[in-house]
Amino acid sequence: MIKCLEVEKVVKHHHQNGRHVPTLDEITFDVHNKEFICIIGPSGCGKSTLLKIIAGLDLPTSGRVKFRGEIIRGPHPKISMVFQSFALFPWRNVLQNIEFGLEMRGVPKTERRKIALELVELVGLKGYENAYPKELSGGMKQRVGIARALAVDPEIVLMDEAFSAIDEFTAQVLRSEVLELWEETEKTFILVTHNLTEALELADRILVLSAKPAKIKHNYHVNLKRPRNRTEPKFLKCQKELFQILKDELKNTIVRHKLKAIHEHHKIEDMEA
Amino acid sequence: MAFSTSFKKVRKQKKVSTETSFKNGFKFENWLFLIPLGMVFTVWEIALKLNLISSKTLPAPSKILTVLFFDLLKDPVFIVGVFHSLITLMLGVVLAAIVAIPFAILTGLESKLDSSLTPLIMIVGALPDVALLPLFVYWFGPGTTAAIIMATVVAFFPIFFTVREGVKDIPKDYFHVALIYKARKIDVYTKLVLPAVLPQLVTGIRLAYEFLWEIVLAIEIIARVSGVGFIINFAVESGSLTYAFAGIFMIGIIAIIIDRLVFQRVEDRIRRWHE
Repeated sequence: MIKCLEVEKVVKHHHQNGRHVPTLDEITFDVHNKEFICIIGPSGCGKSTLLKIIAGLDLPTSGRVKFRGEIIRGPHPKISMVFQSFALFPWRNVLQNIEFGLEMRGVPKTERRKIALELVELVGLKGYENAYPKELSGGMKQRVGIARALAVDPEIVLMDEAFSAIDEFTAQVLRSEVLELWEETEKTFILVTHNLTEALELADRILVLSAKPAKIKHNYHVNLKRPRNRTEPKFLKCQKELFQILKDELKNTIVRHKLKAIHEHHKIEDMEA
Repeated sequence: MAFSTSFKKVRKQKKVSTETSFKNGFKFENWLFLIPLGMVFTVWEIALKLNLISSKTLPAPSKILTVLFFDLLKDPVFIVGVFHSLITLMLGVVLAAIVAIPFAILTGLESKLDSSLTPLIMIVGALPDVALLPLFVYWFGPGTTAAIIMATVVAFFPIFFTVREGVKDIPKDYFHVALIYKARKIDVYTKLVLPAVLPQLVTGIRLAYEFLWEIVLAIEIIARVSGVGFIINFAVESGSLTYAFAGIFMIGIIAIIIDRLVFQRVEDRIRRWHE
């Protein structure tokens, strides 16, 4: 397996009221070609910060991220990103939104239109080429977000809570479509999520982060065949294992995170029930 | 699938309705205000007929409109005056926008610049405009220059503050998208910030425009420029209230026509994408 991303001892401190608050604590892991990785952890643990550092939107306090051996110092043309908020430009229609990355890279108009039209079809938005984001549902908006990320032909697609702002039913459909896309396009996907079941459905490997300052608590290989079924006994067994890992983590959280942790704990119990 | 087909239907219908309204350039609701206006005029006219109000205090609307359409609109001095006011106003808005937009974008994006500059702008904006007028006349001498500069100053504040708010409200993720795809600085301004604040810019310009109608007339009187304001003032001073009211009606008519034909159309256009 070829490594495409190496995260080496990444430490991140944030300034808060004039104090250094450690967010990430020596995070180290590798990502291989065509892998589907999920990063999961209690809310506020710094998962999104980690993803931003990989995206080159934020710099680590120490440590480094390497893409094919090259140190990431800013956004890399081969790494693109899908956002929880969709981050579509409301004044651009579907095609124009998908074309944005290509436009910024100076791809000629006819060529980028051709690519955008192909992607519209790929993400199942045919007929909506000229619709504005406000005319689309959450799931459709995220399809545009995904198409925009794929348009620049990246090797790694980063997804920050990409399914969290979509209603569960639509999210389920979209997840299975993203899996198909991942298999077809042979790209590497890294998804940050707080949804365990989602991570189990999608990932080859799940990185479980601890509460702040986040460390990699567990590197969980998902040994389930695809397509996965969330009602299958094997799936449920994995789910239970993962719950246990996260639960232990939540019990260990420091006092100042207790409230947040209790909140998350309830969420997990709700999901179990 | 049922969902998507019904969705398409809705979209089609929407498109048709906006298209027809654009083709005809006429939207029934936009002119509904004429009904209550007509009612006010009728009551006004009747009150005068019944001698409830003296025609020395308030001339009849029928008389005012007659004077406006059969007398003033044929008078080149009046027409030139109207255009003079209108051009002063528009130049004020345009110049103000040219100055206010860069300031608003810079302060909206840079919090340090914002906290050092914006309070000063707020203080100046809080000064009463009319009280500043004589000063401008003193500095620039009576005439069109003083009027245009004053109009620019008055229009600056509503445009600056609404656009600055708009810039501050741009979601952070929009900038992340620009960064991820390595947008050049110029593209960040022209393809992200400017279109994102377009709705607020239109609101600001509309506010400035409404403000300016009030202020331009005062400017003309103080700066002694021969616009509508000056004509109205002259008419009142020489005791012909009907002419003064005809001038006021003229302003009302122009203001509403510009509002409906320019602003409402631009806003309808923006509403096609703006939530």
